[in-house]
This record gives sequence, C-alpha cells and structure tokens, in this order.
Amino acid sequence: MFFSSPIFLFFFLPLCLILYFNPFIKSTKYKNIILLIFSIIFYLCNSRKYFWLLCVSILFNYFISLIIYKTKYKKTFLFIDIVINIFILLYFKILGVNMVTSNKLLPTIAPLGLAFYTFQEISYIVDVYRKVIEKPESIFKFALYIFLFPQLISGPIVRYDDIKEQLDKRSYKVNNLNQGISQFIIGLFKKCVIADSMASCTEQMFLIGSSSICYSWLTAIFLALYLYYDFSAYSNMAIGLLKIFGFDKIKKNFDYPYVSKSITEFWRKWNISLGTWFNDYLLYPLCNSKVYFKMMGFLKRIFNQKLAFRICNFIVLLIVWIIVGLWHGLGINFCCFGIYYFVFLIIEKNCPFIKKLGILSHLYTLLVVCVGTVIFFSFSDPEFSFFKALFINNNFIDNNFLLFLSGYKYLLLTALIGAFPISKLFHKFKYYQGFKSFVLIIMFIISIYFISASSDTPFIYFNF
Amino acid sequence: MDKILRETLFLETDFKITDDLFVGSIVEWDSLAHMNLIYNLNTKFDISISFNDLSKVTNWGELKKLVIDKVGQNN
Repeated sequence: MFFSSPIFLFFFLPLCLILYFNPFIKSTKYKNIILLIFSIIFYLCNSRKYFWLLCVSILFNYFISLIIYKTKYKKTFLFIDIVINIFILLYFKILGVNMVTSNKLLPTIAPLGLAFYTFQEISYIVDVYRKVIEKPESIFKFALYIFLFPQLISGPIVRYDDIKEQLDKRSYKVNNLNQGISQFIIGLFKKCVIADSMASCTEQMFLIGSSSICYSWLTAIFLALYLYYDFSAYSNMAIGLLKIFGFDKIKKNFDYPYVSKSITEFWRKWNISLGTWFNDYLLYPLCNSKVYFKMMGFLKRIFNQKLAFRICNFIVLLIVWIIVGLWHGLGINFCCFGIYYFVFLIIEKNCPFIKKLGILSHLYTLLVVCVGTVIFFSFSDPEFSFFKALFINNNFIDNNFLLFLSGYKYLLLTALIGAFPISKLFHKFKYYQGFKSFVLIIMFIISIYFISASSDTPFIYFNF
Repeated sequence: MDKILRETLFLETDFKITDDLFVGSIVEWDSLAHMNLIYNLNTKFDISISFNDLSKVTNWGELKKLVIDKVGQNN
C-alpha cells in the first residue's frame, strides 16, 4: 500500500481523516493515538516481516535516550547507541546485497524505511546528548515521531525539535489544509503520471542496453528525471499529508534542484533533509573532534592556515561523501557515486568561476548530474557499460535513440517543464488562486485515470 | 573577530563585513568554511562553542555576541 495505490487513496486515507477530524475527538492526545494506530497499520501493510525490527529499534533507542539523560557516562552510551544502529543498518544492507529483486532498476530490498528511521533515531539520541532536547518525552510521543506514517518509510528526515511542540498541540488552519492538499495532489501527479511512465520507459531503455552515445545520453536524462520525480513526488505527498494532519513546520525536501548553477547548489536543493542531517550529525562532529583539532594543529605547523584548512576539508568531505554514497547501498557504484560528487565539490571549491558562467553553469550542472545518475543506477550494471557508453561507443546515433525520443517526446517535455519553477511565473496573475485550484483538480483527475490504468509501482527510495 | 572571519573565509580586503552575514549568504561561507571559522574561534579565544549554542545563532552579529559571552564566562 503506497501513497499512490487505490487502497490508500480511497480507503486508508479517507478513513484515517474521518476518524482524525471527527468532531467528537478534539484532544490532540486522542488524535495522536489515531495517528499512531494508522501508522502501525500502514507499516504492517507494507512490511509485516520487519515490523519487529522497527519496534525493537524504537524501544532500544528510547531506553538509551533515558540513560543518556540521567547518566554521567553520556558519551559512552551515545557511542554504544550509534554503533548498534549503524551495525543493524549495515547488516541489513549487506544482507540485501545478496538478495535479488524482480525490477532491474531497483536495488535490493532492506527493511522498509530502515535508513530513514535509523537516521531519525540517531538524530534524537544525539539531540538528547547535546541537550537540544532538554528532556526525553514519553515513549508514546517518541514512537509517534518515528512511526508517523507520511514520513516513516522514505523521509523527509524530520527532526524531533521540528515537531516537538506540535506533538502536544496542533492548530488546523484552512490555509495549511489547502497547502497540504495541493502538495499531496502535486506529488500524486508527479508519481502516477510522470515518474511511473518514466519507470517503464527507463526499464525498457536499460534492457536494450547502450546502443549509441546519443541513446545513452537520452537514457541518462530519463533516469535523472525519473529519480527526481519519483523521490520528490514522495516528499511532496509526505509533507502534504503532514500539513493536513497539522504538522506545518516541516521544511521542503526539494527546491528545484535542476535549476542550479553548481553541484554545491544542486546538493543544497536535493534531498535537503538528508543533506542537513549529514551536516549536523556527521560534518559537525568530525570538524569538532580531537582528531581534527590535532590534525589541524599539526598541519598548521607545516603549512600556512589556508593549506591546512584545505587538506582537512578535503579529508572530511571525502569521508562524508563516501558515507553519503554508501547510505544509498553497499554497492561499488554507490561508493563511486559519493566520490564522484566529492570530486566536483572540490573542483568547485577551487574554481569558483564555474558558478558564474550563466547558462553554461546550468548546463555543466545538468551534465554532471546526468552522469551521476547513471553511476547511481549502475547497481544492475556492474561493468558500468552504460556509464562507459556515454563517452565511448561505436555508434554516435542509432534507431533506438530516434525511436525512444519520438515515442516519449511529450513525456520528456512535460518532465523537463515540470522540473523548472514555472508556477512562479503565474503568481502575479489576477486569478491565480482560482486557476491553481482548477489545475489541481485536473491534475487529480488525470492521476486517478493513470492509477486505474496501471499497476502499483513502488517508490524507488523505499529501497534505501 | 571580523579579522578572523576575513582570514578564515579568505575574503577580499575591500569586502564589507556586516552583522547580518551568515552561512549561505555569501559564496565563501559554506558549511565547511563555517566549521573552519568555529575551529578558529574556539582555538584563538580558548572557548568551546557547542552544537546547541551554534544552532541558536542566525547571523555573524549573534555569533560574535556568543563568543564574547563565552570569553566572559571563562574569565
């Protein structure tokens, strides 16, 4: 049962909303109970096999948070908690490498949402240690924070601090409700109409193989758009649902990443919650560790400050980006994916002019991202044949390229237009609100048509 | 402290440092440069800026105030 499946849209969600907004239930406490029950049902419908893991994980992390709050040995317990969480994550990722899925485009399956809820739990524990969370709340609130079904299985990674107040008291404004519904419909349209169509198209393209340079680049463009639409659609729907349920402080997870002048800017706009997580819970501790301080002290004695910082930043960034890559999976391609972006970030740090070339900067970013996406999808292509074919191939252009381009030109055009913030152009339009509502209704009807005409396609990020 | 900021971010000498500057407001001040700045502030003033302190700071003016408070506490 995914957000775009009929059973979710026409049974689960309406039933949940009816009970949640029932006029007899006004207390936030009872609304929270309804949300928790529905979240548990949602997870059980999607992954009965690993439900126990999620429960054990919640109990364990909550227990550790209480110990960290009370004990003198905070650092020791923090270390134990992080090691165990990472061990579980790695264990299932390694186990997953040996399993095979039917869909060639999808990596192997780990327990649903494992990487996302593990990161949320680590952020909670670290925040208790850092005293960002003054006192651990009740286990019920912690369980709801992790279980909350809109964000449980594929993010965005919500910080406890962001929803802490709203777990106690939520206001239901018409404006928030409107925004929530709009976001959900936009996400539904992106998933059912664009991402799912792209999924079947890219799968066919991958099966044919790299027959020419142009065909490989067309596949890369389709893959990049597919990844964006699939993941951002889920984020739109998740944030939309959270807004409907009264959690209106959740930050956006995508901000038109393909309209970036550099890879640095791209990663600031892509999966923002994961980026800020790595910033606060990996980059910050690394740069404030004793090892970093010793290394800086040593390097400053040998070189000048500028060079010492550069060397330290290089090492820290490399560690962070290898982990970012491996977070997606334990394949060599994901490691290469991390290192690939690390290289471009280092280049951009040393050549700031790259960001100042206008349209060329945009083209450069799109080019790098397309190649990066091919590396990302190479878990089913261990010889990186598609990656190689982007640059070296006997044919420059072939019939496959022309066939797919003409067959999917409208889909490609729609996807390209949708990746740009065109809605902003209409903001000054006199009848914008009315026009927006009309467009949303049309989008919803088209989405329903696509849902009825096709089978369920899971979100790609469910696998991470 | 403006001198430390200028040295850490390698800002041009004619660049005017204002209190409303912060991470992301200029190209030179990204998350890594921010970490480098915290390192320099910590070592030069012999203080320890925690994550909790840092998360409440929203601009350079507030960060300078935080450093002054920390130095005051140490003395």
